[in-house]
Amino acid sequence: MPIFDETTLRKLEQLTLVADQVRVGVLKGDRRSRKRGTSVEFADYRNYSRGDDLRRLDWNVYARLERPFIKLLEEEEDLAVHLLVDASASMDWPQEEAENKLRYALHLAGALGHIALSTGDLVNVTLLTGRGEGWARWGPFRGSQNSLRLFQFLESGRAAGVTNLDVSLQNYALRGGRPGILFLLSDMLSPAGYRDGLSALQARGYEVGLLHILSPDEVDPPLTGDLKLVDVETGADAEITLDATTLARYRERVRAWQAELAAFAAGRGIHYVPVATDVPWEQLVLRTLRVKGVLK
Amino acid sequence: MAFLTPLFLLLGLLALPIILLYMLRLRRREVIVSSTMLWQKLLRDREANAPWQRLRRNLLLLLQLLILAALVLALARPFIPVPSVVRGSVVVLLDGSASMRAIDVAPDRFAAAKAEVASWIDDLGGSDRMTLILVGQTPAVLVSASNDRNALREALAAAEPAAGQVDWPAALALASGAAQGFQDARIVVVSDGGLPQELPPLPVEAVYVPVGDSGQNLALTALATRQTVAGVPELFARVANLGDADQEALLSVDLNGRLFDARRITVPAGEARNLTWELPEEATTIAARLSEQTVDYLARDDQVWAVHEGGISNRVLLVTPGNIFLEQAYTVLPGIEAFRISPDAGLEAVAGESFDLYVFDSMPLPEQLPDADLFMINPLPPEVPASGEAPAVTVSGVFSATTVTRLADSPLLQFVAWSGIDIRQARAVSAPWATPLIEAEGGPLLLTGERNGHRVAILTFALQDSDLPLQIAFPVLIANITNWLTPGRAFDTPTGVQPGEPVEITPGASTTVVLVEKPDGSLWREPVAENAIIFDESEQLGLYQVLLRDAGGDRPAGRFAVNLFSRQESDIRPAATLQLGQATVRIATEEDVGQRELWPWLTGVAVLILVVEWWVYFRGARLPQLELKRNA
Repeated sequence: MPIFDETTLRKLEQLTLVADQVRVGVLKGDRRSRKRGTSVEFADYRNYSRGDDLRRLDWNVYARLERPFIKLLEEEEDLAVHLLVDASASMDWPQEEAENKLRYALHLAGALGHIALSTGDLVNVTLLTGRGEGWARWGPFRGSQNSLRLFQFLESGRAAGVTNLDVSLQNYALRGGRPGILFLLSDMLSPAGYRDGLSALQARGYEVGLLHILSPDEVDPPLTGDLKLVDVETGADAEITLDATTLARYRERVRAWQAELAAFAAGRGIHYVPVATDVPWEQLVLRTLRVKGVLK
Repeated sequence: MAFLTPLFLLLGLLALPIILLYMLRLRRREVIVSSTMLWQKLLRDREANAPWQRLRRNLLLLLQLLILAALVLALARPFIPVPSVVRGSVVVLLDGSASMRAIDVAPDRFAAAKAEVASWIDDLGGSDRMTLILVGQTPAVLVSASNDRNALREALAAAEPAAGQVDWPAALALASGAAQGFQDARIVVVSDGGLPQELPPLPVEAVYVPVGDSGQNLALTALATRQTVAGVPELFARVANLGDADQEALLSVDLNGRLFDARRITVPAGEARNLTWELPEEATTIAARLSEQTVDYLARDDQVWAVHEGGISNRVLLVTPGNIFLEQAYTVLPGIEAFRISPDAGLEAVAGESFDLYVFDSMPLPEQLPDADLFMINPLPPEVPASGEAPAVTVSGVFSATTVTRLADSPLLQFVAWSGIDIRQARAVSAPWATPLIEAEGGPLLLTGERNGHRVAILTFALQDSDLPLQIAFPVLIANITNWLTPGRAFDTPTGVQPGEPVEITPGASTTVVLVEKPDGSLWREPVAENAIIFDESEQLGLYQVLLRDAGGDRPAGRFAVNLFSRQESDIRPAATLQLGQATVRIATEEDVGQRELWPWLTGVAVLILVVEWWVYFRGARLPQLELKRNA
């Protein structure tokens, strides 16, 4: 079943309607409105990138130098939006499509990317698989006409391999291009940790939003009995006897872990949004993220 | 170690299903999860909190296997071979004689012997049989050919030693009987020796287990009174040292309950000392006791009693012109002291003396009859016709028709063969209060009756006028008549009584109840039904008082003493060997192998492990809950 099926696309179209009111990048919250700043003061030039609105191309400069430059106006601050989707094997969970984390993450990425493209931001999408080689990257592109391409790219996203979040994020910080707003869509299930990676991103100037995606069965596992748990990502196993007591302890543990993430995020100025995949993604985009201030 | 029922060891295979169940239980369902990261943390937490949690399951398995092992082992009935004298079918003869009360081994020999037998019972193998015989006054089979340890133990615990000597021949006969029918039977004699010399040989093998380790004993082996040649009563006592060390002791003698003499005596090892005292006339009961001995392991022969019977024999006065037959007859009667006077001298000659029986032979009755029993032979009519009240006996002439027509059925005629006795003539005697026992055609020949509270017998013919004195019937008749007139002692114990020995008591004619007061003051009573009464409770040492109860109340009839006068029992030296018939019985060596079973221990261990397992399980299940509460 394709990730961006009819239903999804329709929902995304609805998003387009509201995209004018919705902007990615709360973090630069005090940007001036785009409506007032279309043709006012010149601010700077910057290189043309594919998808830029040709209307803003400075044809004079192009005529003189034969190189395309985009004329930046002061009101219209250019925003780079980075969407990092954790595509490790653990994200491809649960197997039912309805609550699949990766699928959910791709939907989210599609929605956020669509909004960003619609509002003229520069969008980079990266599926984090493995250690950095063979990352599936898309972008940077600008303009809503690229939305379909974005969806096609996301459609091809497949989970694979073991992700070391720390290493992946550090790598991205090094070669990710122009810093901007970065959304990390991950389940954060990385035993090696995430702090160094997030710190590296912040050190490069990224504004980080963390969408912590967990499926309901991870928060409250429907398991019981003598089990040998096998990690779908690493293959490691853990033998455990599950009874009500142990499960209660596990739920406790998950809450503590989420609290720990939230505390870390709050301490670093990272927007932390715990996301459960049983909440419809469009609802999340249209409501929860706005409430949380991720979108505006 | 070996097993009685090794087949049960196969039950050990039950361990396989147990392990299998565990393995099945332990094979965990594999479940794929997105990440074990959080679970690993949880596991680490739990392990940190209770490091033995992981062990718990294995521990339970281990404990269950241990329980199974203990139970299977118990079922297989393992035993360890222990040196023992019992194996196969054993007949244990437990000596219960008085010498087994010696305290040279704590607490005493009998208890030590019981402990020894008890240990054999513990070591009794599964197919062994034990017969337990207590050698007492009357040997008894306590348990016959049994493997039931509890029954054997109970019977053994209830066994008590006898008061005196025991009946070894009877015990050995019982043992022989018990051993018959068993191939491997063996008789084990648990004793300190002291068996009689003449014993029948045993049909099966016998071993001897000696008890006791010292023979130190100072004993009073005799206490008696006797008349010296001069007629003075004398007390005789013998103190024997039966041990192998010289002994010193204090010998005290009580007469009638009051201290008469106390002497410090020394008796060399293996010797005896005889002591004599002159007895005062009034002495009736004598007690002698030893105290402050150097070493003395047997207390039962340290105190003895005796009864001085000097004044008790019956005094009989024969008033006769001279009758060799009569005099002879009374001289030989036991318990009778006969005196003779001539009718001419008259009763005045013995005035002031009292007699139990007056025999008037061929003389007229005196006017004043003595206040005692009377035996008249050939009474003559009074020389002066009696005046006033009617005389006791009226004699009116003689008759010669002496053919006996009737013999009454009376104890007086017991064993009297009244046949072929010729009587020339007899006197016609009439005494309305008397009953004729022998009647002839002409009149009664023998009458008996009671008058004024006294018994009277009348033989109506002169002995010289018949050939009765030449007949065998004569001494029997005289003895019967005399016994009836002067009832002899109620019992006859000339040599004293051994503890447990029965005493025959002959009550008087009017006695209704025989009572015996024991040394401790308790009373034994037996209503008179037959003539002889057997008193069989003479276990206590000391003086027994016999009382005969009749219409007039309780009448003392003398005492008898019960003493352990037995050299056999006082000699408490443990015998090194036993002699039974021709055979010498060897001392049992513990060369045979008994079986001490271990299953009770194993069962106990199993129960113990079960408790531990329960604890482990329960505690293991509890622990997290408790912690959760703490967290909350």
